[in-house]
Amino acid sequence: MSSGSSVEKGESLKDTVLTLSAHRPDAIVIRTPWAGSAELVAGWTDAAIVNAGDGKHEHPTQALLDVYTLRQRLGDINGAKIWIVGDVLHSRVARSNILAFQKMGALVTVCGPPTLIPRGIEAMGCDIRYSLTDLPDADVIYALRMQHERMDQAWIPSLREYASVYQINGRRLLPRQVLMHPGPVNRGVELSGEVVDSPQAAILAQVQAGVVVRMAVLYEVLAGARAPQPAPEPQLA
Amino acid sequence: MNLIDPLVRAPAPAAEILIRHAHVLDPREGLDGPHDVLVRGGVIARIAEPGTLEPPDGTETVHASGRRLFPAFVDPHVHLRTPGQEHKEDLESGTRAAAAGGFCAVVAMPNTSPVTDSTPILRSLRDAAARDARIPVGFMPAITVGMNGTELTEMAELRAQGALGFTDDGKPVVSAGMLRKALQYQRLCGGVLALHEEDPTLSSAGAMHEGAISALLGIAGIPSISESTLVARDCAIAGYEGGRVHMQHLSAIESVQAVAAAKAAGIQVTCEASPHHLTLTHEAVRTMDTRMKMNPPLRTEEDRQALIAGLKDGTIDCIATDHAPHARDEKEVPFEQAPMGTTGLETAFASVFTDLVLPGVLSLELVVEKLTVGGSLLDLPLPRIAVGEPANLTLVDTDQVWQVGEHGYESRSANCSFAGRRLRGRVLMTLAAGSVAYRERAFSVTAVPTPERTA
Repeated sequence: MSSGSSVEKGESLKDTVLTLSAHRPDAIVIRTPWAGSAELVAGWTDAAIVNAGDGKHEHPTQALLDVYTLRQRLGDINGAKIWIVGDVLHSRVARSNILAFQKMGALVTVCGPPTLIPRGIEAMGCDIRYSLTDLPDADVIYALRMQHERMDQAWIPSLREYASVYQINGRRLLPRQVLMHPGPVNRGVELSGEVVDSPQAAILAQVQAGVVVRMAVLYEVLAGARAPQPAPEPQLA
Repeated sequence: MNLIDPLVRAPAPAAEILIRHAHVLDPREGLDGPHDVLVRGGVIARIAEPGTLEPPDGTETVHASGRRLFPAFVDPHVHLRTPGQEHKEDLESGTRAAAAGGFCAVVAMPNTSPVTDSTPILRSLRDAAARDARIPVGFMPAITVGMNGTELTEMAELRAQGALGFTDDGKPVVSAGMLRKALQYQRLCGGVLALHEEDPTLSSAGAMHEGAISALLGIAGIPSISESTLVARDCAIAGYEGGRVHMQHLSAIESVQAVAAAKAAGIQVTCEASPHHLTLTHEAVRTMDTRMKMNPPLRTEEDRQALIAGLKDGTIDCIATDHAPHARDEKEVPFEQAPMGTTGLETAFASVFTDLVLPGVLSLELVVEKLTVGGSLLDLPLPRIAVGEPANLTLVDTDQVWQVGEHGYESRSANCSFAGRRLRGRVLMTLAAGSVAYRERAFSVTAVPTPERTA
């Protein structure tokens, strides 16, 4: 909810939501750069709110579709070792997936440059690694997108070095491992081209799952939760 | 240097009041028991056994049996927002809130719009306070012009015009060299330098304490070391120059340790902690309630315990609210976008009393001492319950339970981190500099002397 919208013209988030709500929508899907926005606006409207990403906080539908994809691949996630690799600090996908994967019984490890692993993340129950040495232990490798602007702010010395240390490539990806990524991929940075195109990659399956899972979310908030009310019998005039 | 009185307030009639049967507590005066206190012409005229004083003609009698009478509190750190941000607070509403919290004097910070950094602005502020302020207000102009950290304000002239001391509060003096020059200038003009300690290269875009909860919420963190490293640095500079500094709103255990070490080394440093840092932790930020967003941020339980221990062992000299009002629509935004600050004047005593005194963590004597001493760290007179002293008194019902915000606030702003909490301890009346500055609405008083129950 930003480009070309009234938020861009200086309208407050509250006024935007009040204005949209005046149209009596059943649901509002909101994506903002600010943590907690979805919960905040839920207090200003009767519409169901779907969080499509709030800042670096959470991206719940991504986590749902990732769980869906993994269950299709592995059958069961319980006990699976899942490594989330890359810029965890700035990733809402990472935060939602740590919660979702753990809820499904998986063991989550986060791995990335020490500057991009948030202090205190172990309180979420995950392990922390700063190198890929133990990556062969993983059943699933979930690579995060490395954004170029992180280099400008000196979070990492260079993308080249990042790739040499953290890139998932043909040498590092084992045949039995599943490779995931939220997209869009920076080929040659967090993933080498050959692994993106490998059979281990579930990246396109994630995209497909995105459609059905988000359809299900919308069905749930639009119809599912309100279903109990039976439709009135048509009255003949 | 020839100084004028740094405290200003609007003219108010001198109080003629007899407070009967109050439990008087002034630890520094050795008072702890029921007394009658007679105020004549705004001055404490007599302190006597309970029930022994009769009101002279024209004197109001306040029946205060079961109530506590303290020396009124002094807050060395408030934001009254005048000039330029009167939609948040002004001198009238801010001092009304202070009086309602039991304060008889407050010290206003200079991060106004424009910044209070020149004699014309200071003079106009003092003129405004002489019209609008219900209790005496002292002003601390900026250390550097525009609080930009690059050139000193005209400190000597500002002092001559009533500047209590100097601070760039809201911002640190980032340059060690600049702080050193200000401390050198302090030899000429006096005035404590109050310091907001935060290394911006460490706090960066942070919006809350860096730790487990910021990691969970994906909100950029403000590490404790952003405060403690600057506390340590500035103590060292003050020690080298032989200057006096006051560390504002300590929040981290490492900062308490740094101040303790500096004091042990004989450096002239004092410091304060706020009621919210003493009673809340970053757990309160889990819901991303913007009323819990302030700078420095609420930190961990370990930090909170260190602040409490610091109060007890004398490392932390006083409690200061850092009352920071913000308008409703400014705070009604996502957490990361919200301005920093919580109001605190009206809840200062009740929050500390409820969360720290009642559970037995701190004694009431210590809390009264720490709430009254703040001004004296900046060379203001200490409020005392003693014959011949101006009446700076606050009458408190320590049994009354009230819900914060239930009936609104005296402050123009409602961004209170204790909003909705049920607190014990209600200020019934405040006398500041000899005048009645506040009466609680439901608190009945009568000018007609009535037969007194013997307590």
